[in-house]
Amino acid sequence: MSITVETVRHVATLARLEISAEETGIYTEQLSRILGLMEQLQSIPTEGVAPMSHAVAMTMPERDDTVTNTNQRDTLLANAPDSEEGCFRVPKIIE
Amino acid sequence: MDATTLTLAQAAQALNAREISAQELTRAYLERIEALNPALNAFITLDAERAMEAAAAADTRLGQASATPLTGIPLAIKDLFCTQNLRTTCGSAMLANFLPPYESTVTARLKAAGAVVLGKTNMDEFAMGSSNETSFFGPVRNPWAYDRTPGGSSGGSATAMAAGLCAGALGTDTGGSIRQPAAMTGITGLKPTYGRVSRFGMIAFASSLDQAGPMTRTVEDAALLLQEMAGFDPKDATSINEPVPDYHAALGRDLKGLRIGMPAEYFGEGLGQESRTAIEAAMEVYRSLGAHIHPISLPMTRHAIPTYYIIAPAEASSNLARYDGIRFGHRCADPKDLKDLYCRTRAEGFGAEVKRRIMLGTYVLSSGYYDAYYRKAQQVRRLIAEDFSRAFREHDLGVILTPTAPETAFKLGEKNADPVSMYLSDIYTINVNLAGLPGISLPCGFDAKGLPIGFQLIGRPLDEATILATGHAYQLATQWHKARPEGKS
Amino acid sequence: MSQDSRYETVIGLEIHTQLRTRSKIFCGCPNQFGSAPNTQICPVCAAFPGVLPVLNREVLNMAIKTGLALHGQIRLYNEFARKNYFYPDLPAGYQISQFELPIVEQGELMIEPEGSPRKRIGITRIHMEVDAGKNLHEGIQGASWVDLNRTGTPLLEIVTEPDLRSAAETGAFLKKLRSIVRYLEVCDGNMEEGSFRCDANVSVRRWGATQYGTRAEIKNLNSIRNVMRAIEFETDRQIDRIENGEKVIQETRLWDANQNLTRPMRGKEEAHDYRYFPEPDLPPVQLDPARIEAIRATMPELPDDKFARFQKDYALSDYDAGVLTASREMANYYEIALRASPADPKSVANWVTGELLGRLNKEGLEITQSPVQAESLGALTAMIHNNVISGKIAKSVFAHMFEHGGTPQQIVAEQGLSQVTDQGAIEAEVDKILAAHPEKIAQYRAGKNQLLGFFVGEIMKATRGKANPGVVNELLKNKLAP
Ligand SMILES: [Zn+2]
Repeated sequence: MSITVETVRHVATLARLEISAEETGIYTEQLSRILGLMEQLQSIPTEGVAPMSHAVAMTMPERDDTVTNTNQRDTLLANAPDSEEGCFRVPKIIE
Repeated sequence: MDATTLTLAQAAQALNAREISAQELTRAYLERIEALNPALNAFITLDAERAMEAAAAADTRLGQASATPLTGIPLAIKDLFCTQNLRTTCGSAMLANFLPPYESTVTARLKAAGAVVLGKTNMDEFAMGSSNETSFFGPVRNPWAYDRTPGGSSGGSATAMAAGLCAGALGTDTGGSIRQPAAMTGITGLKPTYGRVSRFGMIAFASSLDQAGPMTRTVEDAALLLQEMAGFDPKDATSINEPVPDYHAALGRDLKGLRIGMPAEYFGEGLGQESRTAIEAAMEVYRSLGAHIHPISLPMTRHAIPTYYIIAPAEASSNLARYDGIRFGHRCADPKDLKDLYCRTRAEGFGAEVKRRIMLGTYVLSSGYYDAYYRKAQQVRRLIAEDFSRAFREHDLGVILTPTAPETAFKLGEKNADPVSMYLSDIYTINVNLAGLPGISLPCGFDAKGLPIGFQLIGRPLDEATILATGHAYQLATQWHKARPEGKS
Repeated sequence: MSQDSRYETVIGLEIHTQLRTRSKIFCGCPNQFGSAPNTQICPVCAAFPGVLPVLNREVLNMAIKTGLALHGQIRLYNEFARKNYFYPDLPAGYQISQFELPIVEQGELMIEPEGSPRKRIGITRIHMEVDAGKNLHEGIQGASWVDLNRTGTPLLEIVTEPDLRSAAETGAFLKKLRSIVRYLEVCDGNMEEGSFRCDANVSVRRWGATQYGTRAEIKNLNSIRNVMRAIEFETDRQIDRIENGEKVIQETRLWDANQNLTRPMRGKEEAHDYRYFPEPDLPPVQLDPARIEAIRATMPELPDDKFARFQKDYALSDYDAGVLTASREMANYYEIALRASPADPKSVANWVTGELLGRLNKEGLEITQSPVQAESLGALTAMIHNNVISGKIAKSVFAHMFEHGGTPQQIVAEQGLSQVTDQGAIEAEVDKILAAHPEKIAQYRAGKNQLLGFFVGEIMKATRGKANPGVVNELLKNKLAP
């Protein structure tokens, strides 16, 4: 299994990672090798096997519908790289 | 008496008997850290002042009814557990200045029991690595050989424990990150059953695999730490709501008649000869203690690496999407628009291995590939888990015994260039995470270079008590866990 | 709008209903509209490192309730999934939603579009998910602000089959659905505030075609009226393109209510690849059938059932039953009023749908804000039925209650409005009027029957409307008989 430079660029865009031309080359080569390792799974018969999303079989616990949090805006904004008027500040978004 | 040579259990006894104060013990560790850490690089952040405050509080509490076996015990915490108002970096430039406004459930429980937090230990960035070389804060050195890796990703905790910089340490294990470094540094490392210990406040790598556990001098110490760490947490929907047994009480069990499974697949070509010899000797010890060794087969074993390297990066690619430079963490300078903010922030904040896994995870989940990779891996994961349950059931096993790692500590830089060879160093531990089982690594000898060798005991779900008892019996019969790396550098 | 009769429009809807829980879906933050930015957030809903979601029980209950009301199949085993994309209002970089195994599948809703027969609209699925925060742009120089208060608000996404064929059907569907979620008290149905939001997938095709045309997804529809207008616009736009030999492009378009048109969305230009996968932080939901039955047992009576019962038990017309069951509050009002006047359901209905709603509409009030209590309106109707007051007097009593409050009993007593039914007293008035108009008596007796109305009017005038009209008629007829 080998993947193309275009695929690597597309995946980097999906993952929001800026990658240089050099890195694109490295990732293309490395990801192809890693995916090569994964080819062996294709030969395993898995028809009718339920996918396992959780390590242990368990069911959803539920919590009561009660309000337990109070305003903690300033504490949470303290880690923000850029904030203004109680909001997180980001470059202008065009919709 | 050098207090830093005591096991956790011995230190607890000394504290309880007032032979030493918590402040003396803490100060002894802080001094040792000051002397050795610059060369070892085991800690990213020290918290000496608050450690001394906690020790003073512990001294008041000792002798009162509220004291626990952990009251006054100095611990090293992997820098992946969020600690309130104490920098938590996860080994990444992305979080180099992150001050969590909340506390992980595990550290909160340990603090409530009176434990003293010395500081936060180095680790592979976001726990992605097997050699501690992916840390933004530089590699950790193995106290048995400074030019070698302590393993990863909990390399800082392993080195801190092995070098006597703490009485006990916390690690996390997604594919072997507690057990593999424990083996490489000659200490004991336990990965509990998935869900036994709360993940709340543990920075996520792969949510369905991550589990916190103790890294200690002895199995007894691991039992004491696990006792306080384990239990249901209403803040973690995947934590198991079952009573926690008395692990320390279970340690005294007799091994007569215990059935130990030995899977052929773990003793094949990849295993180094010296490790093989040491582990076979460990089996002899078990025979002499009255246990029976049963050859078993876990035929899906060889599929664990590809399965893991689909599932873990897929979950990671999603877990790490929150590092976007908006609410916390690194942000690139002067972003020209939103996309630039995202792409440069993440390119600058994450290191090469993290980016590689994000790319891989994004790819295997992407449209057109999901079924071939992700769904397939989830199905194979079930087959791997069924391998174990079948073996335990059909052979009526108490534990399964395997090597922990294919080789002893390798040289720093040795596998950097080749991610695939690095990935293979977790070959004996990854299955256990995929199946959600408890596993413990303990030392069983040294190779010709003087590097520690470890073996692994795998238990049934939620049966930490049996692997602890089995491990403890071994340590009562052997001395390997008492070896110290002093003067080895 | 000139809808071309050679084409039919095909519409499917995705409706997002915000659930009226006290706390958010996965954390203990309040679920409330209109607070200062970021004052209702915590590490969990703001997606800080290492935190985990825990499901609010009430969200599941509300999803089950809604599923039952829409006659859907409740999946006992359902699971959450992550939908991955980057946007500042989505702090985790993924939305916790449901994908392969939603909680409800295969529901339906019957609609009664005006002037058309009842029609079944299929509900493909209903799933639980989190709402996103808000990006603020207006009046901010060179930046946008992110407010995460809304992040983590529980949503039910209701997806219909492409069964709708016109703006009118779509309007009827949305009204009906909104009334159901309000009946269930799971959502307040406020489209302007965004608690009930709708995206419409619209395509057109030639009559008789078996394939669907290429669809456009229309967003930014903040009222039922706008949904209908957008569908009409979009239908014409797509037909025009086809007629001009152009292709309809599959795209997302925004409704511009000021200019009355849809336009392509800018910004999120990249093709989406949401990379759904099961949420590893949340185990699957495994519902106990007993829980579903318990919820079913406590379900309120829904509009369709109420409609049928009102028609059957109270002999109401389609129109009256429709108006009175349009909301749970309206139906409650009617039935409370009816308790005070059980013998006359039709008059109570007339008073509610006529006098009361007319006045409320005029004042811009909801039924829940009515100054006239249901008990009072019922008592008023009963007074007419029992000949205590006339219909005409009742109207002035109603107006008095609406403006100044009070019960009809009080007002009638204070103002001496009780109808005179005493035969003797009325007879005295009748004799007085007859004595004053001998010539008119003669004309009447000569055959000018319509003069009866004149005499009744005079007597009512003299008694200030309080004379019982039946008694007056009776007396007049006897006395005027030759
Ligand atoms: Zn919250």
